[in-house]
Amino acid sequence: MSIATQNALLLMLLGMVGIFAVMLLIMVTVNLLNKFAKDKEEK
Amino acid sequence: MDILQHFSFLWDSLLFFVTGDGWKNLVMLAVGGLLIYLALAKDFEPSLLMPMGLGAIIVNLPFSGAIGEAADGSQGIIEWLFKVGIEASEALPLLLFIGIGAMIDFGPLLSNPKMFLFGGAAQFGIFLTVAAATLFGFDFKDAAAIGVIGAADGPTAILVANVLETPLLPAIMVAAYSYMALVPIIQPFAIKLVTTKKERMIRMTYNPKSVSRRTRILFPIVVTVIAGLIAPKSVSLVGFLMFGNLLRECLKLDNLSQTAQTALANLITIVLGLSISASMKAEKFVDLNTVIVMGLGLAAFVFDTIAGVLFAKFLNLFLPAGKKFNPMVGGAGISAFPMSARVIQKMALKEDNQNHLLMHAVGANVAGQIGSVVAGGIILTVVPKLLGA
Repeated sequence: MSIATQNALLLMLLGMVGIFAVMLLIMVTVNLLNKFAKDKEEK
Repeated sequence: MDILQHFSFLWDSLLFFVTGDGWKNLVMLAVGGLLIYLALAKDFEPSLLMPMGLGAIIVNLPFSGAIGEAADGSQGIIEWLFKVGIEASEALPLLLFIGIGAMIDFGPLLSNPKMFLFGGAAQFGIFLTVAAATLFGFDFKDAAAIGVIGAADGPTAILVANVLETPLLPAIMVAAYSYMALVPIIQPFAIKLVTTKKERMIRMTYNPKSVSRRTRILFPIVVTVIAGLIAPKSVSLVGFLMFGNLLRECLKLDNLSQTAQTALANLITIVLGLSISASMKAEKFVDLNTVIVMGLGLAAFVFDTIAGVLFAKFLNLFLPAGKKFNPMVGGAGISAFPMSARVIQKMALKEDNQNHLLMHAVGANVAGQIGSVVAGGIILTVVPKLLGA
Protein backbone atom coordinates (compact mmCIF):
# COMPACT_ATOMS: atom_id res chain seq x y z
CA MET A 1 0.00 0.00 0.00
CA SER A 2 1.44 3.38 -0.99
CA ILE A 3 2.17 6.11 1.55
CA ALA A 4 -0.49 8.28 -0.11
CA THR A 5 -3.13 5.57 0.43
CA GLN A 6 -2.02 5.08 4.03
CA ASN A 7 -2.33 8.83 4.58
CA ALA A 8 -5.76 8.78 2.92
CA LEU A 9 -6.98 6.03 5.26
CA LEU A 10 -5.65 7.94 8.26
CA LEU A 11 -7.38 11.08 6.96
CA MET A 12 -10.60 9.07 6.66
CA LEU A 13 -10.36 8.00 10.29
CA LEU A 14 -9.41 11.42 11.64
CA GLY A 15 -11.87 13.19 9.36
CA MET A 16 -14.90 11.14 10.33
CA VAL A 17 -13.98 11.28 14.04
CA GLY A 18 -13.52 15.05 13.72
CA ILE A 19 -16.79 15.62 11.88
CA PHE A 20 -18.80 13.53 14.32
CA ALA A 21 -17.10 15.27 17.24
CA VAL A 22 -18.10 18.67 15.83
CA MET A 23 -21.63 17.57 14.93
CA LEU A 24 -22.23 15.86 18.28
CA LEU A 25 -20.96 18.89 20.19
CA ILE A 26 -23.17 21.21 18.15
CA MET A 27 -26.13 18.85 18.61
CA VAL A 28 -25.70 18.77 22.38
CA THR A 29 -25.26 22.55 22.47
CA VAL A 30 -28.40 23.11 20.40
CA ASN A 31 -30.34 20.82 22.73
CA LEU A 32 -29.11 22.90 25.67
CA LEU A 33 -29.95 26.13 23.87
CA ASN A 34 -33.44 24.84 23.09
CA LYS A 35 -33.87 24.03 26.76
CA PHE A 36 -32.41 27.12 28.39
CA ALA A 37 -32.17 29.96 25.84
CA LYS A 38 -35.83 30.93 25.87
CA ASP A 39 -37.02 34.34 24.75
CA LYS A 40 -38.30 36.69 27.44
CA GLU A 41 -41.96 36.32 26.52
CA GLU A 42 -41.63 32.50 26.51
CA LYS A 43 -40.26 32.59 30.08
CA MET B 1 -1.45 47.56 -45.47
CA ASP B 2 -3.53 47.70 -42.26
CA ILE B 3 -6.16 45.46 -43.77
CA LEU B 4 -3.49 42.96 -44.74
CA GLN B 5 -2.12 43.03 -41.19
CA HIS B 6 -5.58 42.20 -39.80
CA PHE B 7 -5.84 39.26 -42.17
CA SER B 8 -2.43 38.18 -40.98
CA PHE B 9 -3.72 38.07 -37.38
CA LEU B 10 -6.71 36.01 -38.46
CA TRP B 11 -4.39 33.68 -40.34
CA ASP B 12 -2.10 33.33 -37.29
CA SER B 13 -5.11 32.49 -35.11
CA LEU B 14 -6.40 29.86 -37.50
CA LEU B 15 -2.91 28.44 -37.83
CA PHE B 16 -2.66 28.24 -34.04
CA PHE B 17 -5.48 25.67 -33.91
CA VAL B 18 -3.81 23.28 -36.33
CA THR B 19 -0.25 23.44 -35.08
CA GLY B 20 1.25 21.85 -31.97
CA ASP B 21 -1.26 21.56 -29.11
CA GLY B 22 -3.65 24.07 -30.67
CA TRP B 23 -6.26 21.33 -31.06
CA LYS B 24 -6.59 21.33 -27.27
CA ASN B 25 -7.85 24.91 -27.46
CA LEU B 26 -10.44 23.79 -29.97
CA VAL B 27 -11.54 21.11 -27.50
CA MET B 28 -11.85 23.77 -24.80
CA LEU B 29 -13.98 25.97 -27.05
CA ALA B 30 -16.27 22.96 -27.44
CA VAL B 31 -16.23 22.39 -23.65
CA GLY B 32 -17.18 26.05 -23.16
CA GLY B 33 -20.02 25.64 -25.62
CA LEU B 34 -21.16 22.47 -23.86
CA LEU B 35 -21.20 24.24 -20.47
CA ILE B 36 -23.29 27.07 -21.91
CA TYR B 37 -25.65 24.51 -23.48
CA LEU B 38 -26.01 22.60 -20.20
CA ALA B 39 -26.61 25.85 -18.32
CA LEU B 40 -29.14 27.37 -20.67
CA ALA B 41 -30.85 24.42 -22.34
CA LYS B 42 -30.73 21.91 -19.48
CA ASP B 43 -30.87 24.38 -16.58
CA PHE B 44 -27.76 22.90 -14.88
CA GLU B 45 -26.54 25.54 -12.36
CA PRO B 46 -26.91 28.25 -15.04
CA SER B 47 -25.62 31.03 -12.81
CA LEU B 48 -22.20 29.39 -12.65
CA LEU B 49 -21.90 27.14 -15.67
CA MET B 50 -22.83 29.93 -18.11
CA PRO B 51 -20.08 32.36 -16.96
CA MET B 52 -17.64 29.45 -16.76
CA GLY B 53 -18.57 28.34 -20.27
CA LEU B 54 -18.12 31.75 -21.89
CA GLY B 55 -15.00 32.30 -19.77
CA ALA B 56 -13.56 29.02 -21.08
CA ILE B 57 -14.10 30.29 -24.63
CA ILE B 58 -12.54 33.68 -23.85
CA VAL B 59 -9.36 32.27 -22.30
CA ASN B 60 -8.86 29.62 -24.96
CA LEU B 61 -9.07 31.84 -28.02
CA PRO B 62 -5.61 32.13 -29.56
CA PHE B 63 -3.50 34.97 -28.09
CA SER B 64 -6.35 35.86 -25.69
CA GLY B 65 -5.93 39.26 -24.06
CA ALA B 66 -8.00 38.15 -21.05
CA ILE B 67 -5.13 36.08 -19.68
CA GLY B 68 -1.37 36.41 -19.52
CA GLU B 69 0.66 39.55 -19.21
CA ALA B 70 0.85 42.37 -21.74
CA ALA B 71 4.10 44.06 -22.75
CA ASP B 72 3.33 46.97 -20.40
CA GLY B 73 3.05 44.59 -17.44
CA SER B 74 -0.74 44.72 -17.13
CA GLN B 75 -2.55 41.41 -16.61
CA GLY B 76 -5.48 40.02 -18.56
CA ILE B 77 -8.69 40.72 -16.65
CA ILE B 78 -9.75 37.11 -16.10
CA GLU B 79 -6.31 36.10 -14.90
CA TRP B 80 -6.23 39.13 -12.60
CA LEU B 81 -9.65 38.25 -11.16
CA PHE B 82 -8.47 34.70 -10.52
CA LYS B 83 -5.20 35.75 -8.90
CA VAL B 84 -6.73 38.41 -6.67
CA GLY B 85 -10.13 36.89 -5.93
CA ILE B 86 -9.25 33.21 -5.58
CA GLU B 87 -5.54 32.46 -5.57
CA ALA B 88 -4.32 35.24 -3.28
CA SER B 89 -7.05 35.27 -0.65
CA GLU B 90 -9.90 32.88 -1.51
CA ALA B 91 -12.01 36.02 -1.13
CA LEU B 92 -14.65 35.15 -3.74
CA PRO B 93 -15.71 31.72 -2.40
CA LEU B 94 -15.58 33.03 1.16
CA LEU B 95 -17.69 36.09 0.40
CA LEU B 96 -20.19 33.84 -1.36
CA PHE B 97 -20.54 31.97 1.93
CA ILE B 98 -21.90 35.13 3.56
CA GLY B 99 -24.70 35.14 1.01
CA ILE B 100 -25.35 31.41 1.42
CA GLY B 101 -25.45 31.75 5.21
CA ALA B 102 -27.96 34.61 4.92
CA MET B 103 -30.17 32.46 2.67
CA ILE B 104 -30.32 29.42 4.97
CA ASP B 105 -33.02 28.97 7.57
CA PHE B 106 -31.55 26.56 10.13
CA GLY B 107 -34.94 26.37 11.91
CA PRO B 108 -35.87 22.83 10.75
CA LEU B 109 -32.49 21.62 11.98
CA LEU B 110 -32.58 23.49 15.28
CA SER B 111 -36.02 22.09 16.08
CA ASN B 112 -34.80 18.57 15.30
CA PRO B 113 -31.08 18.47 16.24
CA LYS B 114 -30.76 14.70 15.61
CA MET B 115 -30.40 15.61 11.95
CA PHE B 116 -26.90 16.95 12.64
CA LEU B 117 -25.71 13.33 12.64
CA PHE B 118 -26.69 12.89 8.99
CA GLY B 119 -24.77 16.03 8.08
CA GLY B 120 -21.71 14.25 9.46
CA ALA B 121 -22.33 10.75 8.12
CA ALA B 122 -22.93 11.88 4.54
CA GLN B 123 -19.41 13.34 4.34
CA PHE B 124 -17.91 9.84 4.39
CA GLY B 125 -17.88 9.77 0.58
CA ILE B 126 -15.32 12.59 0.61
CA PHE B 127 -12.79 10.50 2.52
CA LEU B 128 -13.53 7.28 0.64
CA THR B 129 -12.92 9.14 -2.61
CA VAL B 130 -9.61 10.49 -1.31
CA ALA B 131 -8.51 6.88 -0.73
CA ALA B 132 -9.82 5.84 -4.15
CA ALA B 133 -7.96 8.72 -5.83
CA THR B 134 -4.65 7.62 -4.30
CA LEU B 135 -5.26 4.17 -5.82
CA PHE B 136 -5.47 5.91 -9.22
CA GLY B 137 -1.97 7.26 -8.62
CA PHE B 138 -2.79 10.83 -7.52
CA ASP B 139 -0.56 12.19 -4.78
CA PHE B 140 -2.12 12.75 -1.37
CA LYS B 141 -2.73 16.49 -1.75
CA ASP B 142 -4.39 16.13 -5.16
CA ALA B 143 -6.43 13.17 -3.90
CA ALA B 144 -7.66 15.22 -0.92
CA ALA B 145 -8.71 18.04 -3.24
CA ILE B 146 -10.54 15.59 -5.52
CA GLY B 147 -12.40 14.10 -2.54
CA VAL B 148 -13.88 17.48 -1.63
CA ILE B 149 -15.95 17.36 -4.83
CA GLY B 150 -18.10 15.04 -2.70
CA ALA B 151 -18.85 17.92 -0.35
CA ALA B 152 -21.39 18.93 -3.01
CA ASP B 153 -20.37 22.44 -2.13
CA GLY B 154 -18.74 24.49 -4.90
CA PRO B 155 -17.12 27.24 -2.80
CA THR B 156 -15.63 24.70 -0.36
CA ALA B 157 -14.26 22.61 -3.25
CA ILE B 158 -12.66 25.72 -4.80
CA LEU B 159 -11.18 26.88 -1.54
CA VAL B 160 -9.72 23.52 -0.52
CA ALA B 161 -8.32 22.81 -3.99
CA ASN B 162 -6.75 26.26 -4.11
CA VAL B 163 -5.20 26.11 -0.63
CA LEU B 164 -3.79 22.65 -1.40
CA GLU B 165 -2.35 24.16 -4.59
CA THR B 166 -3.48 21.32 -6.82
CA PRO B 167 -3.08 21.68 -10.58
CA LEU B 168 -6.43 19.87 -10.86
CA LEU B 169 -8.36 22.95 -9.70
CA PRO B 170 -10.24 23.55 -12.99
CA ALA B 171 -11.39 19.94 -13.33
CA ILE B 172 -12.45 19.89 -9.69
CA MET B 173 -14.49 23.06 -10.08
CA VAL B 174 -16.24 21.89 -13.22
CA ALA B 175 -16.98 18.51 -11.61
CA ALA B 176 -18.25 20.09 -8.37
CA TYR B 177 -20.72 22.38 -10.10
CA SER B 178 -21.79 19.93 -12.80
CA TYR B 179 -22.61 17.18 -10.33
CA MET B 180 -24.45 19.57 -8.01
CA ALA B 181 -26.74 20.17 -10.94
CA LEU B 182 -27.08 16.42 -11.44
CA VAL B 183 -28.21 15.69 -7.87
CA PRO B 184 -31.79 14.88 -9.07
CA ILE B 185 -30.34 12.11 -11.23
CA ILE B 186 -27.46 10.85 -9.07
CA GLN B 187 -29.23 10.63 -5.71
CA PRO B 188 -32.30 8.55 -6.67
CA PHE B 189 -29.98 6.07 -8.38
CA ALA B 190 -27.68 5.82 -5.33
CA ILE B 191 -30.55 5.61 -2.82
CA LYS B 192 -32.33 2.86 -4.74
CA LEU B 193 -29.10 0.85 -4.78
CA VAL B 194 -29.15 0.46 -0.99
CA THR B 195 -32.81 0.65 0.06
CA THR B 196 -35.89 -1.50 -0.35
CA LYS B 197 -39.29 -0.13 -1.31
CA LYS B 198 -40.50 -0.91 2.22
CA GLU B 199 -37.69 1.21 3.70
CA ARG B 200 -38.44 4.07 1.33
CA MET B 201 -42.04 4.01 2.53
CA ILE B 202 -41.21 4.50 6.22
CA ARG B 203 -43.21 7.44 7.51
CA MET B 204 -41.79 9.99 9.91
CA THR B 205 -43.95 12.25 11.99
CA TYR B 206 -42.98 15.89 12.11
CA ASN B 207 -43.58 17.72 15.36
CA PRO B 208 -41.50 20.86 15.14
CA LYS B 209 -40.60 22.49 18.42
CA SER B 210 -40.52 26.26 18.45
CA VAL B 211 -37.01 27.68 18.30
CA SER B 212 -36.37 30.82 20.31
CA ARG B 213 -34.76 33.90 18.77
CA ARG B 214 -31.94 33.59 21.32
CA THR B 215 -31.17 30.10 20.09
CA ARG B 216 -31.21 31.26 16.48
CA ILE B 217 -28.78 34.07 17.34
CA LEU B 218 -26.50 32.00 19.56
CA PHE B 219 -26.36 29.08 17.11
CA PRO B 220 -24.08 30.68 14.48
CA ILE B 221 -21.75 31.97 17.18
CA VAL B 222 -21.55 28.58 18.92
CA VAL B 223 -20.96 26.70 15.64
CA THR B 224 -18.14 29.08 14.70
CA VAL B 225 -16.43 28.60 18.05
CA ILE B 226 -16.80 24.79 18.13
CA ALA B 227 -15.71 24.26 14.52
CA GLY B 228 -12.88 26.76 14.97
CA LEU B 229 -11.56 25.00 18.06
CA ILE B 230 -11.67 21.49 16.58
CA ALA B 231 -10.64 22.34 13.01
CA PRO B 232 -8.97 25.79 13.07
CA LYS B 233 -8.59 25.90 9.30
CA SER B 234 -12.35 25.69 8.94
CA VAL B 235 -12.92 28.90 10.84
CA SER B 236 -12.95 31.19 7.82
CA LEU B 237 -15.35 28.88 5.96
CA VAL B 238 -17.65 28.28 8.91
CA GLY B 239 -17.24 31.81 10.23
CA PHE B 240 -18.32 33.49 6.98
CA LEU B 241 -21.25 31.08 6.56
CA MET B 242 -22.36 31.75 10.11
CA PHE B 243 -21.78 35.51 9.79
CA GLY B 244 -24.29 35.51 6.94
CA ASN B 245 -26.71 33.53 9.06
CA LEU B 246 -26.28 35.89 12.00
CA LEU B 247 -27.11 38.82 9.70
CA ARG B 248 -30.35 37.00 8.87
CA GLU B 249 -31.32 35.90 12.36
CA CYS B 250 -30.49 38.97 14.42
CA LEU B 251 -33.45 40.83 12.82
CA LYS B 252 -31.61 44.11 13.36
CA LEU B 253 -29.78 44.20 10.03
CA ASP B 254 -32.46 43.38 7.51
CA ASN B 255 -30.93 45.59 4.83
CA LEU B 256 -27.56 43.88 5.16
CA SER B 257 -29.19 40.45 5.23
CA GLN B 258 -31.15 41.20 2.07
CA THR B 259 -28.04 42.60 0.37
CA ALA B 260 -26.05 39.48 1.30
CA GLN B 261 -28.78 37.19 -0.03
CA THR B 262 -29.27 39.04 -3.30
CA ALA B 263 -26.80 41.68 -4.47
CA LEU B 264 -23.67 40.26 -2.82
CA ALA B 265 -24.40 36.62 -3.75
CA ASN B 266 -25.28 37.59 -7.33
CA LEU B 267 -22.24 39.82 -7.83
CA ILE B 268 -19.86 37.23 -6.45
CA THR B 269 -21.47 34.49 -8.53
CA ILE B 270 -21.00 36.48 -11.73
CA VAL B 271 -17.35 37.22 -10.99
CA LEU B 272 -16.61 33.76 -9.55
CA GLY B 273 -17.75 31.92 -12.67
CA LEU B 274 -15.58 34.09 -14.92
CA SER B 275 -12.61 33.93 -12.54
CA ILE B 276 -12.72 30.15 -12.41
CA SER B 277 -12.43 30.00 -16.17
CA ALA B 278 -8.91 31.46 -15.92
CA SER B 279 -7.82 28.03 -14.79
CA MET B 280 -9.56 26.30 -17.70
CA LYS B 281 -6.70 26.83 -20.10
CA ALA B 282 -6.33 24.04 -22.62
CA GLU B 283 -2.82 23.03 -21.64
CA LYS B 284 -4.00 22.32 -18.08
CA PHE B 285 -7.49 21.01 -18.74
CA VAL B 286 -7.31 18.71 -21.77
CA ASP B 287 -5.75 15.79 -19.98
CA LEU B 288 -6.60 12.21 -19.00
CA ASN B 289 -6.50 13.30 -15.36
CA THR B 290 -9.52 15.56 -15.98
CA VAL B 291 -11.55 12.56 -17.09
CA ILE B 292 -10.46 10.57 -14.02
CA VAL B 293 -11.27 13.52 -11.73
CA MET B 294 -14.76 13.76 -13.25
CA GLY B 295 -15.26 10.02 -12.64
CA LEU B 296 -14.02 10.21 -9.06
CA GLY B 297 -16.21 13.24 -8.41
CA LEU B 298 -19.25 11.29 -9.52
CA ALA B 299 -18.20 8.42 -7.25
CA ALA B 300 -17.85 10.86 -4.34
CA PHE B 301 -21.45 12.03 -4.76
CA VAL B 302 -22.70 8.44 -4.88
CA PHE B 303 -20.60 7.39 -1.85
CA ASP B 304 -21.83 10.40 0.16
CA THR B 305 -25.46 9.57 -0.51
CA ILE B 306 -25.00 5.88 0.23
CA ALA B 307 -23.11 6.67 3.47
CA GLY B 308 -25.96 8.89 4.70
CA VAL B 309 -28.58 6.26 3.85
CA LEU B 310 -26.63 3.41 5.46
CA PHE B 311 -26.08 5.48 8.60
CA ALA B 312 -29.84 6.01 8.91
CA LYS B 313 -30.35 2.25 8.48
CA PHE B 314 -27.74 1.64 11.18
CA LEU B 315 -29.53 3.97 13.61
CA ASN B 316 -32.81 2.22 12.82
CA LEU B 317 -31.37 -0.98 14.31
CA PHE B 318 -31.60 0.68 17.74
CA LEU B 319 -34.88 2.54 17.31
CA PRO B 320 -38.35 1.19 18.11
CA ALA B 321 -41.00 0.89 15.38
CA GLY B 322 -42.68 4.22 14.81
CA LYS B 323 -39.50 6.13 15.67
CA LYS B 324 -37.40 4.87 12.80
CA PHE B 325 -35.84 7.14 10.20
CA ASN B 326 -36.75 6.86 6.58
CA PRO B 327 -33.22 6.04 5.31
CA MET B 328 -33.63 8.37 2.35
CA VAL B 329 -33.43 11.30 4.79
CA GLY B 330 -29.82 10.29 5.52
CA GLY B 331 -29.02 10.78 1.85
CA ALA B 332 -30.05 14.43 2.16
CA GLY B 333 -27.11 15.05 4.50
CA ILE B 334 -25.06 16.49 1.64
CA SER B 335 -24.55 20.16 1.00
CA ALA B 336 -26.54 20.56 -2.23
CA PHE B 337 -29.28 22.71 -0.69
CA PRO B 338 -32.21 22.65 -1.27
CA MET B 339 -32.00 20.28 -4.24
CA SER B 340 -31.24 17.20 -2.19
CA ALA B 341 -34.14 17.77 0.21
CA ARG B 342 -36.51 18.21 -2.74
CA VAL B 343 -35.26 14.99 -4.33
CA ILE B 344 -35.97 13.05 -1.12
CA GLN B 345 -39.44 14.58 -0.82
CA LYS B 346 -40.20 13.68 -4.43
CA MET B 347 -38.96 10.11 -3.98
CA ALA B 348 -40.98 9.67 -0.78
CA LEU B 349 -44.18 10.90 -2.46
CA LYS B 350 -43.54 8.59 -5.39
CA GLU B 351 -43.50 5.57 -3.05
CA ASP B 352 -46.38 6.77 -0.86
CA ASN B 353 -48.32 9.89 -1.80
CA GLN B 354 -49.05 10.68 1.85
CA ASN B 355 -45.47 10.48 3.08
CA HIS B 356 -44.15 14.03 3.54
CA LEU B 357 -40.46 14.00 4.42
CA LEU B 358 -39.58 17.49 3.23
CA MET B 359 -38.92 19.12 6.61
CA HIS B 360 -36.85 16.18 7.88
CA ALA B 361 -34.87 16.21 4.65
CA VAL B 362 -34.38 19.99 4.88
CA GLY B 363 -33.00 19.52 8.41
CA ALA B 364 -30.51 16.91 7.19
CA ASN B 365 -29.70 19.03 4.15
CA VAL B 366 -28.76 22.17 6.11
CA ALA B 367 -26.78 19.96 8.50
CA GLY B 368 -24.95 18.78 5.38
CA GLN B 369 -24.11 22.39 4.62
CA ILE B 370 -22.34 22.65 7.96
CA GLY B 371 -20.86 19.15 7.64
CA SER B 372 -19.30 19.83 4.25
CA VAL B 373 -17.70 23.05 5.43
CA VAL B 374 -16.33 21.31 8.53
CA ALA B 375 -15.05 18.44 6.35
CA GLY B 376 -13.25 20.96 4.14
CA GLY B 377 -11.72 22.58 7.21
CA ILE B 378 -10.63 19.23 8.64
CA ILE B 379 -8.93 18.34 5.35
CA LEU B 380 -7.10 21.68 5.36
CA THR B 381 -6.03 21.07 8.96
CA VAL B 382 -5.05 17.39 8.74
CA VAL B 383 -3.50 17.05 5.25
CA PRO B 384 -0.55 19.45 5.85
CA LYS B 385 0.09 17.75 9.22
CA LEU B 386 0.16 14.28 7.67
CA LEU B 387 2.55 15.59 5.03
CA GLY B 388 4.74 17.06 7.75
CA ALA B 389 4.37 20.59 6.39
